Amino acid sequence: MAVEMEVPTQTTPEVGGMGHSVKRKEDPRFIRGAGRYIDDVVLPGMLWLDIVRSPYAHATIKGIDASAALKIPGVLAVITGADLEKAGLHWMPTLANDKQMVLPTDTVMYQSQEVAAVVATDRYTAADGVAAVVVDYEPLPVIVDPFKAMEAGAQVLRPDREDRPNNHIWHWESGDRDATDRALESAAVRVSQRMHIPRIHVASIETCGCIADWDAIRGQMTLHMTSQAPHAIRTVLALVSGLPEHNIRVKTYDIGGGFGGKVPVYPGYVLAVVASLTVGKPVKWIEDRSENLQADSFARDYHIHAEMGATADGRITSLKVRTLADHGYTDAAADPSKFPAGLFNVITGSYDFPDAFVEVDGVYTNKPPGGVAYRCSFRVTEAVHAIERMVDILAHQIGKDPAQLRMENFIQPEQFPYKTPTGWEYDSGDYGKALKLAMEMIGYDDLRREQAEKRERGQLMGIGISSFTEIVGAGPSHQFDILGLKMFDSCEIRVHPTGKVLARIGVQTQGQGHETTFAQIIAEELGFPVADIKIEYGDTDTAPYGLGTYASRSTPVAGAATAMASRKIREKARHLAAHLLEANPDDLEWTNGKFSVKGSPDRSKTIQEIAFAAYTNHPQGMEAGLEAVDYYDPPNLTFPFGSYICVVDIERSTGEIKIRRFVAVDDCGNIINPMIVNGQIHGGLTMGLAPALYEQITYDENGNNLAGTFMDYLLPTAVETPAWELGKTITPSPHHPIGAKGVGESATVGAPPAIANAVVDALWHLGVRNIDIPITPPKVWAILQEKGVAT
Amino acid sequence: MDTQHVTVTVNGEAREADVEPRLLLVHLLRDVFGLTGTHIGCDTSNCGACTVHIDGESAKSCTLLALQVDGRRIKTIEGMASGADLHPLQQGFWDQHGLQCGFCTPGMIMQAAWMLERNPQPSEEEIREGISGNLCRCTGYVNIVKAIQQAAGMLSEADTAKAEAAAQVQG
Amino acid sequence: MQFSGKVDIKAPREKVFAFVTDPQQVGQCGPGVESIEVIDETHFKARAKVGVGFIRAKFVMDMELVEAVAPERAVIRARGQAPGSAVDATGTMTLSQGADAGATVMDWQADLTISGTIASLGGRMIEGTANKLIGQAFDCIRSRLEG
Repeated sequence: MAVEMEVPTQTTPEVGGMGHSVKRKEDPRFIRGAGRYIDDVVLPGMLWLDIVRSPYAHATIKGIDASAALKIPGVLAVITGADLEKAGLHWMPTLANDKQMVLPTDTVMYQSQEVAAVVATDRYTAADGVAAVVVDYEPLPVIVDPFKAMEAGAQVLRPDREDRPNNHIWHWESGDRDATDRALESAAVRVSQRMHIPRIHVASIETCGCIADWDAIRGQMTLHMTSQAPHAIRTVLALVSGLPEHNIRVKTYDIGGGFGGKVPVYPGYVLAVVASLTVGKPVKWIEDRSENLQADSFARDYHIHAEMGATADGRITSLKVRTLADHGYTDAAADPSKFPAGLFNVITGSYDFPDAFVEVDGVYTNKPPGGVAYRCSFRVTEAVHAIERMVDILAHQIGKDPAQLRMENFIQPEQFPYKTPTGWEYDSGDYGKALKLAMEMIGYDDLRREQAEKRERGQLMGIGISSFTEIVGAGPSHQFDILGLKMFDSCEIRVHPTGKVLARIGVQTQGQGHETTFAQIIAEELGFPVADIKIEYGDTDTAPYGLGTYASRSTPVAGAATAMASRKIREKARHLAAHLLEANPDDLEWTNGKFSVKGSPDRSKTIQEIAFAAYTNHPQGMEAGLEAVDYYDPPNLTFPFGSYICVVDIERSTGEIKIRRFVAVDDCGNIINPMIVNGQIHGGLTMGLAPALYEQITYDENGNNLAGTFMDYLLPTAVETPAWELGKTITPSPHHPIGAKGVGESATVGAPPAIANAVVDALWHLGVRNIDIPITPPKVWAILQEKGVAT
Repeated sequence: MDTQHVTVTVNGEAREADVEPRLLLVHLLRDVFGLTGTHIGCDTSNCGACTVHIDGESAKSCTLLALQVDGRRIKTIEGMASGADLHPLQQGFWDQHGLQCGFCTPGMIMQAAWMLERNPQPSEEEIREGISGNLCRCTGYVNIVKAIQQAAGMLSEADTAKAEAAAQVQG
Repeated sequence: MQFSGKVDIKAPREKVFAFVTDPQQVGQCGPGVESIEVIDETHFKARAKVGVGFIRAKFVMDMELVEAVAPERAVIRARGQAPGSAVDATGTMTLSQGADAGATVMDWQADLTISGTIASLGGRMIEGTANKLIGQAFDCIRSRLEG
């Protein structure tokens, strides 16, 4: 049962401004199979690139013999690290200011690392070429465990980093260590817990790929690709390759899911560029699923130790968190420069307490680069999991209902804007209202009674809560940049003479529905019907510069830019209308897509009439046309929140966890399109369920990735996924032009601890305090065996 | 490499090609015939993005060879609409927001069409079972289930209308 | 991965030792071996086709007889590659007098490291498959010596 809430609207359904569930403008092409994804693009004379990958997780390369490959008809070139080294292209910068090999010259650092590239006339021949390249390796000892990598005397994995004497990449901390230590020492109750948030992979159903197209005559490089951040890619490519930035065009197509995995620059992209520069033809590279799961950037892999202090009756006073972050062989995290552990220090969550201290240490291991998001804003999921687990542990420890303990510790509505002990300023919130609604929807008190009765009979039922606060919309330029590029975003709007609109945005869509929702923002602000507005993105030759779509930043940043650009147009329209109506601009008022003279509503001009006049009858001294561009630098981040409640039943004979119900109450501020918001939450919840119960990338002791296909890396199907029940509260962001906060990732962030808390809640009375995610049936079954309750 | 001749009917149209014996059906459709609505998501038959119909049966075209379908009838997502008229499943997916990035959508629609032919009025559980060989990373399946339910309703109304019209003619 | 076992062979130690230190002979018993190329007394190359689950790979193996103490002990080291996969293995065979005259007890240990595609995609089937293949190899040695 979903609670349908009335979302306020100011426009008619025909105009389709904010609050309307407008059907998506992008769908007609997708439902007909007429979407155009990167692998659908074929250019004249196009060649194929395929990649030779290392079987070893750590080895010296003694030699590469490409002679047999080059004898295969149709194989045109084999590119090695030695070839790239001549051009200085064997290393490239990562987004986190580390270095990543494009191809190794002497040492491979993880299993499936790129070792050489084969260029051929078609994809099958390229694969033949890959199979024929012989590489002579001398295996080296492998470090898989980040704790072992940190031990004194551990083999140094990155001798090239002369600034680093060992495998420790960086230390980062936030909050007041001494005050937190004092608060913990004097706390009446202290709870502590170790948790591992394992490596997972976004596994968008479309893998990554590109076509690099070098036109030597025009000196033009066009890179057609799957990217969540095309402009950043263009600038990085200009810096790495030395090609002038105006002669580089990055162009995206329809993107089959991003979730953070299509933010980084992968070696395959650079290899395609080098190959096209070498052979002078377009070169396509499309990774297969195993390459995607084994070599693309990973998410999470945080080893957390948290300690929380509280009063005897459960008032939280302090939180101290130490974390070891496994980044693989290079730090390729897509975090803002000043935040090597992302926004992990939002870990104080929805709770009001004075003292907190967080420290994170990054470490190198023989794994692929990690640290991209998995549908979340920079390490927020790790933070939310830790705080929501700790709050539940505290509640259970002192024998207080977890809902009650949360209610007593929430930051109260009147405390906003609220400064956290780690330095964030939350914009707005009403956490108690969201939790109360979730409790009503699910019938919390009845469930607790049922649980007590079932426990008497030996049945295992658990109820888990997560009352999360997110931090999204990076971000204000004084704090946020990636490789020095400030994290503003942009929108450019052109109104054509006949009242039709073309708008271009600096962000990208990977399924979020920007072609619809950004049109709705313009419809809201200017009164043009959504049907008359075309949204474009993803072509760096035409779109204004922007940092791209990830970390739920599209609506908070580019959405704000769209509203602001619209308002610039509306201001010019006011002057045009004043000219047409022979009135003073200050005497005009704006309602329902037209300017009318105050007090005489029949003297008015519609936005369409004004647009026509901008090109046919503009006043002397005013520029012709009706266009505007806005680069929006947000004054603060936005802080969406919500309360989720999950009910599980555990099968004692198998350890199977059945999610009986899951209620999600979200508050993302003002809502642009309720249908799309719900869709985002459904998807986010499923990507929260996935790491909670199913997904994990594991490695054997030799560094082999043991989840290299969808047979071993388990995405939830329709059968495992419950029928999600949604509710909403609306607490607008006070600083955002349209009061919106962003929603794409809330549910991925909030769901895992609700599920984990439910499972532990079912088992707490047996002495279970924590189970690391993914909570698989074998893990639960082993616990049931140990506790003597398996049947 | 030596090639062999393959002849198929794709969306009602006779097509032929000389192909390497190792060519996968999905590459025949996409690379040789240019029907790029059928997608590749996993290479191991787990994700279902490549689902098509072969002689009316749902099949994953990424793990079949082109030669295996010689002489057979294939239907892809491009063959689902009749001109401007969308198939009820296409309409359902659009109306119910049953897609986001759209990558799994063609395979999901083809699988659902096959399922509804066998079971025109499936329960929610049967729908979820029926599409469990197709992975979607965006939607959480909720609206895909609703889309298929809407299509089942539309198809059954259309059947009823057809039956009534036939009865009137006879009457 | 480490495996070990014991095989009773109805043949004298000297004969068993000669067999397991002769590349041509012992090579025939390697899992999936298709050809043997002897390079010198202690080095040889084997080409083998091995399948784990749905994956099949053709390996080229460099073999070395690293230790041979007649008639009691032999150690063979192998390193091989198939596209995207690699195998590093050491097999140790210790021969002792069997209960019956003219019989030999072979205690063997195999230390096996599998890397790359086969390890990654073969996943949890690897250990079982490896165990089976190694067992077959020693059975093969026994039956050829007894036959």
